[in-house]
Amino acid sequence: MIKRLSKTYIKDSVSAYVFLLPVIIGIALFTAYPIFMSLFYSFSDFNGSYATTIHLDNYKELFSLDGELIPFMSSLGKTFIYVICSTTANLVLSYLLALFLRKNIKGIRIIRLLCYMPCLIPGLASGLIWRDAFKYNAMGLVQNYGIFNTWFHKLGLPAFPFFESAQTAMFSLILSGMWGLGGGLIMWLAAFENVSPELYESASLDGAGYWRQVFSITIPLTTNMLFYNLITSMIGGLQVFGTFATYGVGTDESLYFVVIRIYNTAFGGNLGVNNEALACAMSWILFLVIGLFTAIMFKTNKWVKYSDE
Amino acid sequence: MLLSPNDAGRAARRKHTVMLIVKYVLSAFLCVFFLFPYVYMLNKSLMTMTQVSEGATFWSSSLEFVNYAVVGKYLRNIGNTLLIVAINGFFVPFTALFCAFPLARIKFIGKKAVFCIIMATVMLPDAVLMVPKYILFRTFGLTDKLASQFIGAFWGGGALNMFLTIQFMRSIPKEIDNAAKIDGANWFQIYFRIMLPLCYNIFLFICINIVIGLWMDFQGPLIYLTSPEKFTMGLAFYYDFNNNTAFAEKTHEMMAMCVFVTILPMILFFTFQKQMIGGIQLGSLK
Repeated sequence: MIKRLSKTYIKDSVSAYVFLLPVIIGIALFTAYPIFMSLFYSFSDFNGSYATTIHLDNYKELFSLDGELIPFMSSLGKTFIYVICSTTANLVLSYLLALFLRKNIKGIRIIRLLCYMPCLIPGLASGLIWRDAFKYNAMGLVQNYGIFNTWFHKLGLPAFPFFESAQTAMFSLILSGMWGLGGGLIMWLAAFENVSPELYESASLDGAGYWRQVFSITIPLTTNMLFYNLITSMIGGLQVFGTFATYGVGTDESLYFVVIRIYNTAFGGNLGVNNEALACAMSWILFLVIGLFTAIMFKTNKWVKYSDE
Repeated sequence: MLLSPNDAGRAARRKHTVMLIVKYVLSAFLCVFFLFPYVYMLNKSLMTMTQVSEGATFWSSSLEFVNYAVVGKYLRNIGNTLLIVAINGFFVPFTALFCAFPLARIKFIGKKAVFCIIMATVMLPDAVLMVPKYILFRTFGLTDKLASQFIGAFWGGGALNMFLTIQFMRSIPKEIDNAAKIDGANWFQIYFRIMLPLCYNIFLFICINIVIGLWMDFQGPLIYLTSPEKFTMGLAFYYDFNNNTAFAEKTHEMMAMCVFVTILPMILFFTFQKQMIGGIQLGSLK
């Protein structure tokens, strides 16, 4: 009997690996091999065609005060600020929005859909819309203002520079991200569906008010989803690149995020100016940062409650 | 003072009405806020060139549908994009389902290790692969070829899509497999005859996400495509509109293009709303 079982086990394993063949080839060719090469390039003088020596110069360059340290760290810092601010704002506000739109009032489905609709505008297009709507003119030429500054002007308010000042560009980027709250909204509404209604019934029988129910039932029972989203939006946010299409590196490099710097270092200049090896070294630092953050988050996830516990 | 039951009922009713009004006022405010980009781009896409250059106004004073003729300039880019999107849109879910099947339904040697390796790739930033992948593609002669944009579609479709599929397949009762096995079916027959048809919704969900995601993608094309006739929509957009000065007075045409590229995602989302919301719900079970 045991012999027969193990025989089917082996047969099943063979079948399983046939199914897995595409992903094994894919990971070997498009992930494992490039990772290995990237690590190798980062320790070499690779210039896009060949490498002659293996050395630590790229990392030395990245950590030397008169080398790349200051620009690279400033990019890393801007990326951190972006990730922390946009993740917090998005999670908190989309959660509040979902709590509000969870109510069953007439026409709620249409209201929810309308809130989601800006997410259907492709990122590149919405970037162009915001760049146009938030336009500013430092000389105060009203006809060069975007719609928001024109409205401010009509109301007698001072013009706001939005993307055209290093101080306000990051804020403007996060602000324009608020039109994308609908994505989080749909997700939270889905998460609320998994909370059993009986919990609320017994809570209200016990006299718990609305906010008490939110803090004692809804939030604890959606922490697993919250955690998953913190992880994915952190990993995704650290790799932000889409802003490059419409805002470039931002006014005075205010939106010069890490991946944009890596791209520019490797491909941005002309042949000879590009430094592929240095770009690889930068990407490894980013990889380590992401790995470190993920590890910290998994080590400190005691607050996450899983429903099957 | 004690309230009579009648008074209490009336007070509760009044409170209910007030709350309802507050809810609708807030909802109306939300709708205005979230519809702003739509109304803005639609209006601006219908403005005349003079209105655009005379300073910002919200409502268009004309209906210049002729602005939409600018789409004609992008036909080649649209064609390129449709080809890339179609190949990815079919093969990404197809291979994701195929590769996820054993991880969801078969017990086999090294299952845990395989699962962990696949999931670990989520953490890996694309930036690490940027340079070596470019070098690899160049070696294979794939740079400046549209193939560079769909060669990656045949290899399992990415860890997150596989994870979602595994979740979905696990929710299908195991008895179906056992019954088929007793009838003498092998795993491939079980997959193609039974599992694949049951996975229609998740297939569609992944497909539509890929189509919407790649429809205006520019990061991949930016590195690999260099000759203008190979440009995708996203890349053509990037080159035409990233420079503020060149297109400043043609904002109306730019907005017409923005409206145009929003149509496909909207049609897809509203047609397959059930699958889209279902897919998001599946993700929320994590």
